[in-house]
Amino acid sequence: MTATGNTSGRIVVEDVDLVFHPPRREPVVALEGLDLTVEPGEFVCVVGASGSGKSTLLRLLDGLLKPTGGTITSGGVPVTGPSPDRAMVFQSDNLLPWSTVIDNVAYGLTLKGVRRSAAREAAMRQLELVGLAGNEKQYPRQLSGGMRQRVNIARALAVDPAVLLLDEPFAALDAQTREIMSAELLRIWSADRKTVVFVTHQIDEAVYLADRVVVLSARPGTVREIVPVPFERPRELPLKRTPQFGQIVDHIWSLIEDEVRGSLGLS
Amino acid sequence: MSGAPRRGGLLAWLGGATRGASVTRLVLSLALFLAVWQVAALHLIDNRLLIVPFTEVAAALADEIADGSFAENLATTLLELAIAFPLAVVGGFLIGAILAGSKPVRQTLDPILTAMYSLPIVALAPLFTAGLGFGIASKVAIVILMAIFPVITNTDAGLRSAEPNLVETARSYGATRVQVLKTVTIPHSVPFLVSGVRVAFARALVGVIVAEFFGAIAGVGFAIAAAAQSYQTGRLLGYVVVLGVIGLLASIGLTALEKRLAPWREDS
Repeated sequence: MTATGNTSGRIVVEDVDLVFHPPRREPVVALEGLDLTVEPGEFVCVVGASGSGKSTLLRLLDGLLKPTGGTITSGGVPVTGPSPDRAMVFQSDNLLPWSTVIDNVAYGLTLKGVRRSAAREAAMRQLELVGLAGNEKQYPRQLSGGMRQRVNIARALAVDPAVLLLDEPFAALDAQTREIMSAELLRIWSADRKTVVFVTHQIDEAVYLADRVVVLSARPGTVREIVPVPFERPRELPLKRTPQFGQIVDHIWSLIEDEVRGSLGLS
Repeated sequence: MSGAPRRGGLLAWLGGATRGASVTRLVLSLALFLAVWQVAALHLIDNRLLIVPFTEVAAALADEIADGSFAENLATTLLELAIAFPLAVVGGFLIGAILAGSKPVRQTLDPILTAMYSLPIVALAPLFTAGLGFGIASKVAIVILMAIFPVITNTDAGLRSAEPNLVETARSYGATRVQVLKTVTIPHSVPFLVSGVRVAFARALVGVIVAEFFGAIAGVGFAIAAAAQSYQTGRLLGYVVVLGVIGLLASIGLTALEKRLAPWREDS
């Protein structure tokens, strides 16, 4: 876990457009004129109604998609494709069913050509961090959903990226597991404070985790407002029951409520 | 799950995953089968052209073994399979991989392959015997044609059905095309390949026996045809039992192979 330089985790998104051209249908403008800067070591959450392009934005940051206009840089370098500098945690855990837990965590390192034994050593350290030392020889099928998602996070941390991108990583988990997992994520993050961009549709989760919450508007997706979260760290779960916390959640909800109603055909 | 079965736990033990339990199950089912056979032959069916007691079959097999013809027939059939089956499997893997890799090739060849797969290829056995002679060449040809199509189809399906999510994950970790193939596509296809090989072996066994019916110098199918022509029911059924044993051993071998190649699918 080497300390990262001052600009290495900085993400700058400038005037980014993304237009999809599905065959034989009207083009879809997913994102339009989107500007966003994420500072090194900052924890940013992205919320918005469904269809606001949250996941699309994350795939652009990772390099899995290319913008049709504008520029994205990560650590000062233009993003042209996936890079070991950034690691993505998907909503479904996407573990390789044929690999043991430890080999799943070592996956990113072995792809980079790190020797198997060294990769496993690094993987073992991450498994200890996420509290799964002792499960390394099991297959993903033998783990619970929450455990699999922790393996998924350990796999992303193992490549020691400057930026961690998470796409609704706890969406498939039940509400209680979800609470604990978000507290766990903060604990893990506080160990070396990577830059984090975390997409979620759960507003209270976003406010609990983030330094700033980016609210996207839908069709076309663009930044509606950036809401700073003033709470000090470390944060404990009871924070969620305070009035100040509730006020911020209410404010963000008011920003996206109309769009959620609109997408349901309500007014 | 090891050790002596407890009182009342005998059935539970028998349903368990231990080696002892699975061997016991095999022995029990064979004993049951032989008992039904023996009772049917002695008390139920009074047609010696259809069935004779198992004990007579065993005696007929013993005679065959004693005069050396059993070894010759078995060796011939196994040699034919040993030449043809690996060729069919390797050829099927290669053709299946080409189809999976190229959509235009797949779409062009698909109608032919579907037709060939559904065709009863044993219908060509008389033709191959006429064209390639009574030796092993005609049997090798039939076995390859019988066995190759399930391998092609399953290889193609296995290689093309890798989960898009896993492929995207691999790409996000910077995997090259070759790395995606090695770490996602190929491991995913292993169970498909094994089940293709399983179907292929059953078809190969049918192919080799029918091909030998239509003219051969030696072989299990040849011996069965010869025994039928001289009304030697015991000898005929003896060779059929041998075929059953070959099929059983192949199935056990393939199951072991699959557990070795795809350990993640084993029940914990």
